[in-house]
Amino acid sequence: MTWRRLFRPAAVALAAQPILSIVCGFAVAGLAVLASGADPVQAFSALFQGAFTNPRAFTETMIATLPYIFLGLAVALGFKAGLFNIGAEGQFYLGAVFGVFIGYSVQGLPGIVHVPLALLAGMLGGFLWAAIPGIIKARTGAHEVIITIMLNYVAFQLTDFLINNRGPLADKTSSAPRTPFIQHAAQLPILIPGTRLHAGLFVALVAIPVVWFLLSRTTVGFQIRTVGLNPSAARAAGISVGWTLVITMGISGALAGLAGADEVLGVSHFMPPSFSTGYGFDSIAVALLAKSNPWAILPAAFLFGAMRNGATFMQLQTQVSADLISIVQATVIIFIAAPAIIRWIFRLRHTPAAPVQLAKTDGGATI
Amino acid sequence: MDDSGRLSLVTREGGRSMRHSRFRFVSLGVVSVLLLAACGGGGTSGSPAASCKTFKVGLVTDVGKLSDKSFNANAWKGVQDAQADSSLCVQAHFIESNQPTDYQKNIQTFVDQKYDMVVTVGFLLGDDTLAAAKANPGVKMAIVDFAYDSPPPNLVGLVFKEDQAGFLAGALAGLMTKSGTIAGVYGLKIPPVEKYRVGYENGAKYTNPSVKTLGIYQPPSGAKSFNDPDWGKARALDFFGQGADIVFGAGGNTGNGALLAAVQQNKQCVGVDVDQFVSYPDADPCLITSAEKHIAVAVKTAIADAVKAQWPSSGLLVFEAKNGGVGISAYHNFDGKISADIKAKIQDILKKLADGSLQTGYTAS
Repeated sequence: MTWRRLFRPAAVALAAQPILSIVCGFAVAGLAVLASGADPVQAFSALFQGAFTNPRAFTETMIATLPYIFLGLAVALGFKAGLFNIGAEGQFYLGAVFGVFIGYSVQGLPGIVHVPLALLAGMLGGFLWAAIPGIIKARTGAHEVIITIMLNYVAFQLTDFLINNRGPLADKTSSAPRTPFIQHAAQLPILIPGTRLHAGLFVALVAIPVVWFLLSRTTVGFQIRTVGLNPSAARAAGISVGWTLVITMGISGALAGLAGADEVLGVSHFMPPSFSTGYGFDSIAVALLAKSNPWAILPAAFLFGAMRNGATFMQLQTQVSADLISIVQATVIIFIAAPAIIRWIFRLRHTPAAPVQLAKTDGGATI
Repeated sequence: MDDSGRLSLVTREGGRSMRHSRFRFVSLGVVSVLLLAACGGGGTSGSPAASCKTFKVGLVTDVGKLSDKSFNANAWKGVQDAQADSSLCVQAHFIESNQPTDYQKNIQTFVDQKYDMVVTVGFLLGDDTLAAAKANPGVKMAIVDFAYDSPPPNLVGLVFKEDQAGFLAGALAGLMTKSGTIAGVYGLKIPPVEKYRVGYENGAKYTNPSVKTLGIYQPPSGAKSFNDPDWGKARALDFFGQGADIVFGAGGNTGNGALLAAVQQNKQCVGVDVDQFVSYPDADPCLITSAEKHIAVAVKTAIADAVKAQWPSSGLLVFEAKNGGVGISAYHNFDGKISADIKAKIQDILKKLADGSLQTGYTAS
């Protein structure tokens, strides 16, 4: 991806719609602020301050962006195979559980070994958890949306059992329900002293080209995309559709699990109950906004990270509920999903360039 | 996300059949927002009278958020009460925490914004509040319903005499029981729960010396500790079978299960910690009162102490009957069914607990 390719008219046209959708999303949210009797300008400027200009704001925005990158990639990878992985939230939890367990239970390793080991453990946790719906779908044709949604709740309850009060992973010396702290060697190093920004940033920035390479330059990636475009043709061409579905779900889950491990090794250093709220679910929107393009995940994740981080300060300054950003996110997705609206508002010419394949199902079970 | 098929449908060609007028409205809205954006700006936020120095207070909730109708909601009410007292010159804001990793960031946000004091709610914020207090000795911090062994001087824990709240509730139960037997379903046997139980049973015996008290602590149950309504309900049903007609549920969701049993069996029940008539409406039909920690009083007191430079050096503010920190909640549905005589007796007991002429009989073991 060179700069010249980035600025080709087709690329600009491709980017125009998400950007205009974001503009419209903020406009609708602005109306909601207005309707609630507050000042949208104050609200959005506080959102901006909270996300970028306050002390520590930018690094906190980066911290909130990291899970969105991993999870956005996870969901996008699923989309490529026509799989709607709603289970990223649960896979995120399992990744965190595996990561934190290796992080605190293994002792005496140097950081250079311990950190990658714990991250890999997180990927394994996510992989195994996501492979379950993959296998069930491949074997029985059951729809992955249903299974992944349901497995989220199993994951929440499972982690709750593991770390609450006297669970097997609980820190018995603490009055609060949580796991023990991870070993110092297992912590992702802080990049800027005095902030919480950690070396997981590099892991995320490496994950993007890796996923891009996997999808566009490898046999597995080709199989994933082929199954996503037309499972029947893929089958006719000798691709094992079932195996591809399982491996896609597994890799998707591994990315989600990496997000969870990254969060415990980089930010919290232990795992409390109700660990994350909504990173996995928001990431479906991140992947949609990025149109499942691995490179576009970065700006989309950054936008969501900035909103998530800035919302706190917005609520503090203007008393506008932090839930406002949910309105932005939801309306952005509506506009993304219905491009005709954006074309009409902004009088865009309809470029026949490939309508987004958000969730092309395999023609089997749909809900 | 509810329907993958539909999402792929709408991206296809979309929107032909939709009428343009609807979208005109949207674009009109966009334009009007932009216009307003251009004209707006500036604006004032409620700044208090200039007669005294503004004292900025920030409240950080746990993940229960302000809408919990319980600890967080009551703590914010205390902050608002302090704000309403014009002599304190308090200017206050809150931040609701979405997830545990937000606690540190949210406390830090107030510190960065040069707030004078940060109030945090509950033991979940214990570690982060302590760390923030140590790192920022110039900022006063108070944490609701939590205490430290030797906190830094800028940090206080706001704790409550649960035995006094339990004593008042038990006194009422002793007067209200018709069968002469009252019961309690308790959480794990840890000090605050023991205090509630001892207070409740002694209070009942104080007003009704012949009363029989039944009770059980929940055994340690892993994830279900304080969170096993089925167990709590079953124990309450056992007690009703043994003749009890009032049950005290003091153990989180375990206790709530006991309240549900009382609703089901048409018995009476007593809530705990906050006014459960508000926080747990499922129990409203049976709830005669709740043994209550007046969290709002505690938070307001801590803020006032900070403003008036009466900050405690012990790292602890104890709330009890004497300072209005504990009591029982309003009778709500039972207000008409509780005689004026009984109400007067309860008032009298509260007064005696407050002036120290009456002890609950709880001694730390």
